[in-house]
Amino acid sequence: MMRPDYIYIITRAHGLSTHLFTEDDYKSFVRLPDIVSFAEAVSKGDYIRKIGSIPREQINGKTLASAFGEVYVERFLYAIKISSGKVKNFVDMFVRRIEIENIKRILRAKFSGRAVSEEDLIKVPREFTYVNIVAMLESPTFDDALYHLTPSPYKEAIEFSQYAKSIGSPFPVELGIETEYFRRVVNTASKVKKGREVEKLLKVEYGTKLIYYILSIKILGGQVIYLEKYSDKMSRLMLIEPYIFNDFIRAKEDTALDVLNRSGYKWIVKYIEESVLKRSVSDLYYWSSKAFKEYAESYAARNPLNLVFLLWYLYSVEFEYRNLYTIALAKELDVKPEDIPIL
Amino acid sequence: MSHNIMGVSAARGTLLAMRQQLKFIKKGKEILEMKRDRIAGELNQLLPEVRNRIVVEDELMEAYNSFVNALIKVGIEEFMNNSKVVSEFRVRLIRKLVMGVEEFDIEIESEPNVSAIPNPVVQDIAMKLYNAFLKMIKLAETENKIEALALDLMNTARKVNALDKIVIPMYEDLVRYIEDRLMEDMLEEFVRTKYIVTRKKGVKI
Repeated sequence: MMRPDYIYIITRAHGLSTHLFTEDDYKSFVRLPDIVSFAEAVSKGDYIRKIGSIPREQINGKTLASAFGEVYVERFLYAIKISSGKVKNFVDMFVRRIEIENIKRILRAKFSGRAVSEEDLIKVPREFTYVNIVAMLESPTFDDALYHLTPSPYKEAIEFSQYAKSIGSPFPVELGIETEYFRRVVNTASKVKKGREVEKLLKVEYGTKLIYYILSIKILGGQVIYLEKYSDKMSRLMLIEPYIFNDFIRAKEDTALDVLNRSGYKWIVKYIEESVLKRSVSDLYYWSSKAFKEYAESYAARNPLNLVFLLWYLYSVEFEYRNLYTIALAKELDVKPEDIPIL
Repeated sequence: MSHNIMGVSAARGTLLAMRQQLKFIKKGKEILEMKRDRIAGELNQLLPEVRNRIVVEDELMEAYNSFVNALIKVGIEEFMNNSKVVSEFRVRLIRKLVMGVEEFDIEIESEPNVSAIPNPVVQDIAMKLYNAFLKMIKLAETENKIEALALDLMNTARKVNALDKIVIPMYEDLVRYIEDRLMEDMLEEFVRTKYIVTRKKGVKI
């Protein structure tokens, strides 16, 4: 029998999911003539307060994206607020992805010695961060900024810094932080009752992201061979055997798809095949996200009374944020409705 | 005896000076002709590069369309914070004087490290835009050279024409005129001398 706090949070997730925009809403949004009419149309429910506070003459892609971002963060924080016990630990850890994004932003600026301030970051209350963000912001160098990760759960990412310096990009450190983040989330999910389904969906997300990263870097002619050293650690967070993951790292982009056909990510190949053959990184990003979204949707539909539904709700909040800023920017840039890539 | 023609006196010394000046002007004309031909040759070499403009513009438009496509997929914030990884792109204008023609070369002092961008979508777009931008810089450099060369070609051709049609014929006329005058003077002098000699001998003319 399910515990009352589980029943409560899953019921709330079902209720909250009705606040989300539907596919029909998106279809009507993309057909709107301009960004102002889009802002008016979207100005309901959770968005009414944020968008209503933007003066009409200041409505543009950036201000709307910023408003959508605030709602996205509030929804995540609300999910923490309404959960309790081990579920709260899980949701709390899941929401740390906002902190991850902020850490990435700081490291990117520090890597090239550029200025970065709190204004460049997503606003998130102090209690939802492990890392001393202010100290990171004030760090004079990349290494000093990395040092502030030492007391945090992401400290293991520091060992990726040597690769970051050798390839001249902060990407390996970012990947290290994300890997550590997913390890932690999967770990908290494993402690939740009937958490296996949640773990699986998290592994699908991590795997989909990693597949996109690796294939993109291959398309762009970059190096990923250094990831072999971490293949054991990474493959534990994916639905893939370590030796198959190593084959995937070593393979060229077209043969890498054949390797994926031998793994738990066989289903993704039909989505991304064309983008890989076209060598289009932005299409690959879109189709890998689309593949994951559809996978999560069908998985949640099959598990409506599991905590997976809450996870699906959190993913949907993220997808809604992406869809809304996509439409806002597309309207600002006069992109044809049929060319707007809605997830 | 000397006569004043166009401000110069028709004397033997003047003739020598005029001949020397004419020789010098003809030499100058030859050099200007050589410069004109050289500029024309260089222009012919550069013109095919400008015909490439449409290809470069298409490439830039394609990169821009890819940028719009990527921007709506990943969002402004992702583009902005990824751009912080990229080092500054610095160029320097180098002024050169070639055959008196002022040319500018664009030297890249520091290249932006676009491969450092962690987001693959943003990196891809940055590479496309940077490559298109480099081609535009090269094109601007060539167009600037063509403009300077064309202007100088026009000036040089005008100078050659002026020398060929006005200055040289004028000097040639002048030299011929002085020669004629000197010849006349010599004949007059000869006739006069002959007359005096004959009169001295008591012959009636």
